[in-house]
Amino acid sequence: MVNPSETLPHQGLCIVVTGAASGIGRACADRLARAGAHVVGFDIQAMEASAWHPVTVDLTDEAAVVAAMDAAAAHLGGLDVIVNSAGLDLESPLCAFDFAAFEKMLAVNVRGTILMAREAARLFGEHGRIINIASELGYLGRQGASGYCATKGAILALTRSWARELAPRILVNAVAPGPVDTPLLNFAGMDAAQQALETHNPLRRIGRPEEVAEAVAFLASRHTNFITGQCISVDGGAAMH
Amino acid sequence: MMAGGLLGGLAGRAVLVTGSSRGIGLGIARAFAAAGADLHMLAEDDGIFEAAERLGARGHRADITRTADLEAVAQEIAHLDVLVNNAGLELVTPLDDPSAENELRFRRVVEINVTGTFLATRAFAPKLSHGGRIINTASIWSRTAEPLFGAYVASKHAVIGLTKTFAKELGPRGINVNAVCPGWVRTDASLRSLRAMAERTGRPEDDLLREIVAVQALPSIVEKRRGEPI
Repeated sequence: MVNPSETLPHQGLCIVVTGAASGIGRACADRLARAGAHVVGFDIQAMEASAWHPVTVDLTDEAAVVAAMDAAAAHLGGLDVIVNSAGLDLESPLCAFDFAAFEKMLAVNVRGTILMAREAARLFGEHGRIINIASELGYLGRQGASGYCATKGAILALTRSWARELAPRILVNAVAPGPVDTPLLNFAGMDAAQQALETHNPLRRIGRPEEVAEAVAFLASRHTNFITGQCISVDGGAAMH
Repeated sequence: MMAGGLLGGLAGRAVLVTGSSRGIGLGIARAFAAAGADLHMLAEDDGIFEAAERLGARGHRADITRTADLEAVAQEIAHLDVLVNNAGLELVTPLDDPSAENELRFRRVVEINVTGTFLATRAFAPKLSHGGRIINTASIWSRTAEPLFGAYVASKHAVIGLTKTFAKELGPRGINVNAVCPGWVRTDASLRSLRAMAERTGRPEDDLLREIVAVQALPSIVEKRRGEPI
């Protein structure tokens, strides 16, 4: 039994965060590093960071991911947690379905997550945590975005399956954000009708990346030991699944 | 980063935990006390005063199904940042038990877990302002069912319903409402239920417990560490 006042929840944890260049991934890397974790951030874009170690890697390149995960674990001196935040949102309506865009999303959102989890399961020590970033749209669906919603539904199914398969050594959970104030969403650039759609939740606003990172920090904490296969929604109450 | 980590930021925040004289409620109260919260503890038994004194909290004796009790407590509390609706009752209510006692048990479980959660929230929600939090203790049986526990299972499903409804009612005021679904936790109440199940089924408690945790969770985890309140 851990007394929360005696042990810091993240001090010294070795963590890899994907999609770390911006938005939710960046907020997670910043939050965990600030709490004393050793963090490596992966992204396909080059990035600058002072509190954690950035690595440019393409999650659709299997050999590159394997090498980058080996290097990250060596750099960190181990591996305790991965946060799968990298994702693409390319939308198209069913009657004009863009299969090339869908293949790209599958390659990053789903295959990339599977690759990262496989490598993490290999590199984890006695315990490990996998935290996947899903989406409220995995529950709600959205017109014109079925492909993206499908990849996020897949994340929920992967989370539950791995929670069963990897127990008790590895805990696997997800976080499902609603619309979050990131460059990807571009809330300020939307018209009033779009903004109203995005803020249609009980709290009547969009979220901040830091609020998603807080849920990720909770799931990554040393004190959070009896939760697996779950998904925490950080969406202002939009889905309430 | 202050000691306490995720529980940091609760120092001095006013928190009320109902049903906190023992079990999960007492565990929740201990965590808030350790985080330095300005803690109020409420229960219907006298044990609440001793429990509160040990944690440096204020104890309130009240039955959450009695509006007059709740109003008296509300008058003693100026402001709340967090309300934890944890008080609840767990009793067996078998479908094949025709006794009047069984009917009374059913009504009391629903009255405490459902009506009581509504009444306590109605009494204390006015103490919360923008940024306030309400956390309801639901149950793994809010999602699944267990034979012999019709009233309890239905009432905990209802707690999820109240949680979603309150979230929509209070969200526009900036108050977040959520629920926690604990799995099988070793408490006086759950051990009493286990004994009642053993009596009703004629099966050993250990067998029943193994079965409960096997269907509700991951067998490989529960064999290693069974949930206990902190």
